[in-house]
Amino acid sequence: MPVVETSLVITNTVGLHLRPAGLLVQTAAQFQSKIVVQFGGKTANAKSIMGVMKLEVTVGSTILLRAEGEDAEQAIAALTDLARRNFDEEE
Amino acid sequence: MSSSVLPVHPARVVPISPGIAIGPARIFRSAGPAVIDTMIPPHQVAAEQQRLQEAITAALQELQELQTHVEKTVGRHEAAIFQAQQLIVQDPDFLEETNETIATHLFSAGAALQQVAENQARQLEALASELLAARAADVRDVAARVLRHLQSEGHAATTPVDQKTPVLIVAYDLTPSDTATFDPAFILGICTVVGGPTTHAAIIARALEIPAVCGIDALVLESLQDGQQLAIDGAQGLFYTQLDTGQSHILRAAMEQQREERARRRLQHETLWRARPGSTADGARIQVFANVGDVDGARSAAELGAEGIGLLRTEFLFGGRDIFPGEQEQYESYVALFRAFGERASPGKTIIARTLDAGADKPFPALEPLIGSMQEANPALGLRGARISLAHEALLRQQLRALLRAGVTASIELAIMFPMIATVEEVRRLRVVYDEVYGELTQEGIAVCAQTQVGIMVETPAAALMADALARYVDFFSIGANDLFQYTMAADRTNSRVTSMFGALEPAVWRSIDMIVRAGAARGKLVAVCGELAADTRIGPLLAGLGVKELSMSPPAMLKVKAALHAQTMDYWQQRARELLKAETAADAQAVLLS
Repeated sequence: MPVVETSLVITNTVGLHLRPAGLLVQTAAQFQSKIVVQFGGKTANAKSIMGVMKLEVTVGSTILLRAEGEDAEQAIAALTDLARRNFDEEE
Repeated sequence: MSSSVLPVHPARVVPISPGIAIGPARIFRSAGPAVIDTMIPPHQVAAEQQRLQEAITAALQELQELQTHVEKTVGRHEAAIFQAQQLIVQDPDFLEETNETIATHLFSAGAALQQVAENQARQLEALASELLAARAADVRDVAARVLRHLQSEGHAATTPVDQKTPVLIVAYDLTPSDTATFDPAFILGICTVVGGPTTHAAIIARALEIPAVCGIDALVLESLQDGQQLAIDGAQGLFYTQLDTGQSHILRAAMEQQREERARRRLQHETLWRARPGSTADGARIQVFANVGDVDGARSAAELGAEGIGLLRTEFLFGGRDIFPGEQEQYESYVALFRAFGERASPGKTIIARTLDAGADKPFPALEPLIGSMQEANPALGLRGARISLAHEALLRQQLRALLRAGVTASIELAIMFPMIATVEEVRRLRVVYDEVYGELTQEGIAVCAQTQVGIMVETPAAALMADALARYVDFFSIGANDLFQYTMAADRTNSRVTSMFGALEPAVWRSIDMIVRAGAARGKLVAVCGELAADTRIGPLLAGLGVKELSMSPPAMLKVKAALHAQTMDYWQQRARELLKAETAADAQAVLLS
């Protein structure tokens, strides 16, 4: 099983609270791979909205994403893209 | 002012939603279910887990419906709250933990869910971020919803608020679900013990313009009686449980003034948009039409400022009856409907009538004696729409005669549109029938307008792909966005198990619409869109940006779409529509819509 890891800086204005966390979870849910988010010594299932919210990722912090599965690469690419777009936040 | 008693001071509480409210109290107990504390025998674990899954599925479906409801009654922003709740109810960790609790502690599904949800909610509450902590209320709201489905029947789904006399709601706590079902016409104000300005319930109260406060004393709540006079000031955070006549008088006057102001503001807004034809900020004209299915609908469409009827569903004549109406009866019904619209509509009197759009999924008992049984294994792909008209030409002739005659009698500008087109041959054959009927009527001395427009619904991928050829044979295209989605994505739009896999706007559908619009424009043919996409305040203007000239929607959506369209210039909408063409995924499309 391919394992792909990447670290991302969260730069949108509010960190990962409900709306951006929701987008992250929805994006992750599109893939078969097991995907986890690590931050501040805690690990959460990227497909769990409550798990992601409880990480309390704040602006400017770096999160680690790890996907494991056949579509791990695509999953990480999609999530990276989402973070680059600042979670579609208005300027 | 009476001075025999000490002046009464209101309690200082937390302001949530501005405005003054004074009136009788209504103690509201949320529909939250009673605590379930049941153990199960080990052999029942799998059955409990199955029950949990079913309750979650039912709750998810309710939340989707609630989202749509709130989007219509409150707004898109507020509806997103229930989209977020859908994510919570679908949370895989949550499900897993609950299933584990059922298996290891031998708890019933309800007891396990309650424990896991409460645990999760407390963890969220403990977070430093106040915004995240406020989401605990959503977790509890979702859990209560699932629990209601787990409980045996007989439990009322909600505690009904008797929304007949205006009241002030007093509650320990209110969930977003509770608040969203309140009718602002009967809820004067809201006071709760817990809550805060960032809760979803608070956001909804503000959107509905219901004054609200929180932080009232729990002991005071206990002492209140239904019907007791209360007042709040939602801007300053004041809570009055006792009122002297002077205060009462002042507050009532303030509430009355505020009500008049809101009514005036709303009226001004509506009158403005009703009278104004659809256009962008720089004056590019986009006609905003109504979808209509009966005489009442025609009347209200005209009253709400429809510039025309973009989709007249003629099925209204044929439903709920045993005998199919003949030409004369159809004629009389059409005249009544055309007049109901034509006499009230000020700017335009165009009515686009769609010929009978029946099918096995929209069966009409009266049709069966004429065309045989409508039982089909796959109705969406069966004998429907214009296919019935072609297989049973006499029905089509009868309807066309009735429609054209009625158009002359009611002196409206009638256009005819055929549904469910897939091939050029179909259109050629339909036009032959139309031309023959037109010829007959002219010979009979009925002065049918020679310029009567004849168009088709473009709602199959086949028609979209052949749009350039089809454009030669018609005067206009009307894109049936709902069916175009269903046939393009091969996804039944009423099946939430598949629709939830797709976005509101799929790039394949958007590209298809673009193709149809360009094919129409190349031959100078007008392209319209009817269906939910046109009524979406973010998508409607972008359709105009693609080159759609007429948007047809359910009448209540027209004012909002006109306002949205007018917010930007045509250049802007064109640029955004092109950006949307670059989207590769529904998420990309969503990003463009949100940006």
